[in-house]
Amino acid sequence: MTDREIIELYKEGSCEEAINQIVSQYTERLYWHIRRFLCNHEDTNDLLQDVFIKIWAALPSFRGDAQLFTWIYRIATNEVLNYLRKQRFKALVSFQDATEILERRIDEDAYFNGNALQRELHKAIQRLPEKQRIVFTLRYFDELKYEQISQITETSVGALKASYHHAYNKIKEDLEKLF
Amino acid sequence: MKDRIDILSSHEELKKMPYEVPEGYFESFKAAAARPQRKKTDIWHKAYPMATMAAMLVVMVTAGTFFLKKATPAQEMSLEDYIICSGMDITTASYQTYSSATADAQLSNEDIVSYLIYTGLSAENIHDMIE
Repeated sequence: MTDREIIELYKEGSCEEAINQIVSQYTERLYWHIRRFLCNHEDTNDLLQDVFIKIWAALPSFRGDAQLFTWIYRIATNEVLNYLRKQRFKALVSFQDATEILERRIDEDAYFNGNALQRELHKAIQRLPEKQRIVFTLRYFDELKYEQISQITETSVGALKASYHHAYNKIKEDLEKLF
Repeated sequence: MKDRIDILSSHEELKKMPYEVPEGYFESFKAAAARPQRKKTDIWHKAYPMATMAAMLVVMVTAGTFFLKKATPAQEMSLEDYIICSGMDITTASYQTYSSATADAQLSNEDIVSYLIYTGLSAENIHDMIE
């Protein structure tokens, strides 16, 4: 079912069916999108549930100006950013480094099954500033167009290109030092 | 400077997710995410008639109380009246009250004299009054 058909379904009054379609089609994509930032299954699972609750609550206000896909990704990305800010604050209060906590999570993750290069790539991503981290993951892993990322992050395409360029070079440098 | 191969574009595995999820996670998540909404809707559908009846009852009681209050004149003394009345003393003498009632009751002179004796008036006073 396409996004347009889901919205039509919702407008016709089949709200439950529309939500079920969104859950069915977006669970895995959103899970991986969130997991790249949170680096841990349990927290990703909790946040994914929150994201769907937000989507369910905000769906009546969806006007259709943006694509359903970018609208859903925007909600998920905002939730991720809120979570990371809270984590950073918690780390600050306990005199810890939030980036180090995330890197440690990758090392300790029981569900990590990649090679050393993949591990270092994901650690390098955690060292990027928030905006660069988002642009890099959406562009590099999800291969979204800059226009789509622009709608999700509400940032200009020019600024996104510059952010991606910086992020890409930083990660490349980090990896080339190690491999 | 020696040109190196771009590590990010030359390693295909880097674009793949190096994480796994517990077995059957996505299936159970989808099933669990779909169920609460159905539950919520069912509960609301069940509660809807009762909620409607409760709302109607509240409206009826409120409206009834309002109209009843409007239809019945206020019988309770207002605070202002109470203050005024609480400062008043009954100054009318008992025999005067009795006298004003005599016209209606058509009492005889004997009855009047008996009463005046009862109230403790002297014989002279009673005589003057009868006169």
